[in-house]
Amino acid sequence: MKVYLIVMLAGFYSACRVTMVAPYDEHIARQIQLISKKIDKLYLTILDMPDDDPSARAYSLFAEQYIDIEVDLNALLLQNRLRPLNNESTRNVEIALETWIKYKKKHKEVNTISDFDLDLNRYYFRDLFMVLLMGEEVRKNINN
Amino acid sequence: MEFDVDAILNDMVLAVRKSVQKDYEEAETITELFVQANKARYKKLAEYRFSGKIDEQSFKSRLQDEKLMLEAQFNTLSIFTKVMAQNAANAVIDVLEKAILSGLKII
Repeated sequence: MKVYLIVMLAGFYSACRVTMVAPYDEHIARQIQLISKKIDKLYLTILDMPDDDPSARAYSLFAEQYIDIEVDLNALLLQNRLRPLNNESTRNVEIALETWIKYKKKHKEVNTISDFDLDLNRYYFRDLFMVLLMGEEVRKNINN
Repeated sequence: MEFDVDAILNDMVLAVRKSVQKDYEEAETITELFVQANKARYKKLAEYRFSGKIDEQSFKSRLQDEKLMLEAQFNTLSIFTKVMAQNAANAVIDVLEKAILSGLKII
């Protein structure tokens, strides 16, 4: 009798757990850190080129890195879209992707980028990726 | 079978309070981190605008980006709120489960 009760209560217990957010995903957290590093590296590389020589900062010199990061962001977006109960993080990656494309487009159109634009872009993405990472890390607080 | 509803409800309230209090402190830390990061960026942006390094159009474009940043920050805080609610709800279920099990003399 007791065994049946325990089995029934175990079933009741697992069925009654409340789930509002997707659990922590270590792979996604690592991806966020990796993309953040790539962005920082690209901006620091461009910053290392002389500001007074526009040809040294021509878009074509960095196009491959820009596309590589865009591909990573697309993959991250797909991973997030496939997770259930994950609307907020999905939207956050959309914001990162939209902004990345916007800054890439500007560099491509002007065909150079100033120190101060690089500075602002770099800080923006550093902070945005901190927000993205926090969105993943807070899931470690889930008590199940 | 013993089932003291008042005691169970009291335990449920305590469980929620404990769960929310712990998570709330961390939510405050995260919010403070966002506020400090925003302050530093706004300061930088204002300096570049006042010194004329960025024009009006670029400044307005950057402000749009800042709106998106705020949206992202609120999204992350929303995740945390859901985690808090989930923890609190499951803490209540734990209390109820323990009460039923002990009432049935299973634990």
